[in-house]
Amino acid sequence: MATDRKVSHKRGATPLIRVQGIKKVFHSGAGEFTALDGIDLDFYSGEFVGIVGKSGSGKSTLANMITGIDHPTEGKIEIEGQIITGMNESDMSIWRGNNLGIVFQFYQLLPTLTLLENVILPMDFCNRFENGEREERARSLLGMVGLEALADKLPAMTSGGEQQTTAIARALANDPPILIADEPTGNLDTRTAESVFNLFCKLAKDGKTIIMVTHDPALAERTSRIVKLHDGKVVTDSSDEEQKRR
Amino acid sequence: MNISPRWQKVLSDLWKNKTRSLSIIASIAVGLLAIGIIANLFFSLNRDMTSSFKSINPANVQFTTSLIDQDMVDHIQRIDGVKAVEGAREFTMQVLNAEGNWDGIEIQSKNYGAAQIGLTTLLEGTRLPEKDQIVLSNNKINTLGVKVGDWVTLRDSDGNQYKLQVVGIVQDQMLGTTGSTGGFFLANTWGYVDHATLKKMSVALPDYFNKLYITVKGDAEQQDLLKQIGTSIYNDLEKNGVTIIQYSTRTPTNHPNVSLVNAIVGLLFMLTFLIVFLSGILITNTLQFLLTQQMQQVGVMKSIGATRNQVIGIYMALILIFGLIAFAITAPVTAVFTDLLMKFLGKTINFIYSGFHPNLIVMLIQIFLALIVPQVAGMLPILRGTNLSVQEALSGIQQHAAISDSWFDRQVNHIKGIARPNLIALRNVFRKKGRLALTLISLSMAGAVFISVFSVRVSFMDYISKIGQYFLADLNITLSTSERVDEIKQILYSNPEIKYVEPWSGARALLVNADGSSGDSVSFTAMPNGSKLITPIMIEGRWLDPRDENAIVLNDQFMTDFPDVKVGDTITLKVNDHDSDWVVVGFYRLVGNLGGLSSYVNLNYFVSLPGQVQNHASVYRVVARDTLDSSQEKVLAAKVQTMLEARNIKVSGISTASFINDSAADGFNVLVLVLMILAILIAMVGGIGLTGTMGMNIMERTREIGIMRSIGASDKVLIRMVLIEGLLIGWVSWGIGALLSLPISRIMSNNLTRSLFGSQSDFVLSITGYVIWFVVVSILSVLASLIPARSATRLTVREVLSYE
Repeated sequence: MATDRKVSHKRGATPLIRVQGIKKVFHSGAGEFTALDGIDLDFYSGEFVGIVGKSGSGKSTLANMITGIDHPTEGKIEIEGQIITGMNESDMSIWRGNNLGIVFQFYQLLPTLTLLENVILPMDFCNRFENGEREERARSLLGMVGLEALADKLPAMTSGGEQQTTAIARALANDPPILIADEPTGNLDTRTAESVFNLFCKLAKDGKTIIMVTHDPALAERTSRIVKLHDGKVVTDSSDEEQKRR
Repeated sequence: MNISPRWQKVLSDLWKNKTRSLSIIASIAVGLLAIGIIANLFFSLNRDMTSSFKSINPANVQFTTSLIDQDMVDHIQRIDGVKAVEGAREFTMQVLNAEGNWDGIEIQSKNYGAAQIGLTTLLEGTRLPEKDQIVLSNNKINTLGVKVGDWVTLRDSDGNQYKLQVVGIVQDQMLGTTGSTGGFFLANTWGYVDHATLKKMSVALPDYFNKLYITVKGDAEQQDLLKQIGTSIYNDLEKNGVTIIQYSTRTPTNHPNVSLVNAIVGLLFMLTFLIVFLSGILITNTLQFLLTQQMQQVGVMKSIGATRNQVIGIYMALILIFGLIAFAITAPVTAVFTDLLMKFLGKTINFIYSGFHPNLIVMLIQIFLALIVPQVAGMLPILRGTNLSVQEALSGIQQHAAISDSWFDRQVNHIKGIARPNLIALRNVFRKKGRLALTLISLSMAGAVFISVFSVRVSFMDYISKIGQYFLADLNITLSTSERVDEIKQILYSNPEIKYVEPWSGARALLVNADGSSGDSVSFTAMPNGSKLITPIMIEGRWLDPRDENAIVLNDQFMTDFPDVKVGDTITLKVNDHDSDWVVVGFYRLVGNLGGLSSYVNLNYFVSLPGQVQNHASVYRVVARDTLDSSQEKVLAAKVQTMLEARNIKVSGISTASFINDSAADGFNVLVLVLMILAILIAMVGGIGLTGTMGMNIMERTREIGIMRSIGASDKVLIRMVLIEGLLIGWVSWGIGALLSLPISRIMSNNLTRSLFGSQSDFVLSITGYVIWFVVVSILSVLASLIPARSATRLTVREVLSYE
């Protein structure tokens, strides 16, 4: 299901996420590698953004910067007025649990917990919702993604698509305004990938701000905005082009 | 669902990976088990030895005298300070053993129905023999091969034989209390008979006694009081014309084998700290393994809102549960092992084991260690593991980890000339140096102690064989009376199997104190000048010279009991009722605390003293022409006895060289057994540590394994690589352990012998220990490597490459 919107923000609105001058340099035995070389981007509420680029373009690194999973060498990231760069790990974890939902390429469910327990876990860590409410909410989320019947199964007993769908439900556990997905369909077959992507589209329609990293240009075309990276730099941003067209 | 997911994760992690959980629990349990057994032994041994000895109301003062009647016994009772006195008749006979040879047996007769002093503990049957019946002590019952209801044959020095029915078997804790007959381990079987049986065995003057067992009034723990009362009794007996052959005192809580227990306990404590330390290292390593496996999950939890403290809390809870499970398993196992060990020790060291009593202090120690040690040991891995950024945790790549390019690594990387897969295995050994160091510490220490146990054992065996140097003859013949040396030699030399005979002599001797009062008994042996049948272990001074006259050499116990006596001093001994002065020329090492005071003098001078008969001797040492084994010695002993009795020479007993060596070895075998148990525990710690390390190493290289599989490496090649890695670690640890064993075994050996004998023994290295540990560590290395290697090779290439 493609989204209708190519532009989702109004001129003059305050960005939800501000990425300013972000640079990331990795050090290895072979020397230094600059993964991100001065990225400036603004993301607005309700956007469904696809970040594309070839391998090594820096798209996953950018996602890690926004989620606070990794830290930039230079630059600043502000989300909903909170500067997250420079936050310590503990504060970052708390903030992230309450404000971001992350979907990984390899699902990253805890293998010894059931699907239901995996979905409840963020609520548990962040102490969101009353104890009794958590299980109900988790079942509801799994129901929303069509997996209520598998709630008591361990991840190993389910398919890749079901695990990824559960990961999405988990990302929604604390009702964050922002979802970051790093290659969410990268490990899925075409049909399952389509089903997962449609889920994202639905969430976008429901008002979530979604940033999805993908190497698949066809998928990116179906988002409302495409940011293309190459060698750590933004080469194109469909929102800019749309602004120019106006 | 009743518990929150984070605690559910704790329980699931525990249950779902049983192998890993068991490995961690085993690491904790091994340390707990060792501590539990050691602590229980410490409390139980001291408690039971002291209380069981006290419970038999042991004699505080003992005299062996010339024959005395009941009136004299009653008279002693009235001496100031005497609480109770019992008379007994004791003498040596021979008993036919299971192999058809004659062994020595000490016969005792007293009024067992009324006896209150030195009570025996009934094991089977009855303690009260009647006519033609005998009760036997259990210390050497196995050699007799009899049980209650069977008949034994006794033989006196005249060759008369008597058949008595065994009606009871008892444990007699008084064995070895006089300290002058080699102690408990060298003691013969004891047989307890009644007065009617004495009469039947034609014992002269059966109504008379030659042994007094006395308890004192007041605080019997005061050794000075015992000596004071003992001296009063001694003087009174002398005044009444009684000849005193032997005299000793002992407090009621001073079990005769307490020095052996002290040695065991001292050794155990020495090893306790080592085991706790090694167990801590093992737990650290194993928990590091757990955290490494869970690193991605840590990253995921942090990515969905968990703080570092929350993650730490999860793993601390997991470790707490491991500790509680380890304690729950270990507590009953500790009880079982302690019970078994105490039963064995009770029988071997001759005390009454009162049964296992759960000790609150021991349990508290175990609980404390179960809860605290794993938390402390796990803290570093937990802090390290939770300190990683989410990115590092998820990717497994530490951005700021130092890339190792040390001189050592370059040397390893430059090794050439071996097949590349083997080269990879060699390099893999040194990839994680911290982990390798921890593994090597625990495995090397385990190896060092394991090897040391063998060296300590060999040192003991060497010591025992050196003790045997004091009895170089094949046979030691004791006659009932002194006989003409020429006559005995003629009889013995008539047997072509006999090569050499030496007449020896012994006497009853008492130390004479400065105030002229009589002191402790001293075993006094007069040996032929320049005797070839003794090779002493000198500590100070010199041995007797054939030209010496009133020279005397004293044993190591003198140095402990009378530290003021030095080489060159003159001491006075009452030998066969006559005071004589002796110049101390040297001190020799024998069995220290376990054997009492002993001395040697030259026979020529001894027989010139008043009261001695020239050219007569009651002890003869015989050397056979050929080298004899144990059974051949017994055969020769039987022939010699027959020869002598045929010429109306009364034989009190004949002991063989192997009997002396075997008896002395019995006590040390107990120690060696305890050491071996500890060595096995320590080896287990090392083995579990290596298993954990290899598991971690393989797990971290799962992707590499997958890549190698994708480019042609077969299962066989991969397994071989892992085995080489494991074996290299094992062999390196063997080398380090072998070096460490040198000082450790020396320390262990010295501490033990100092506890037992009051002085250090010569240390002997055992090659056997090195060889056995090499085999053990090689097997451990193979097993520790094989399991993770096989698991890794079972994964498909697709699975391992998508592992991360």
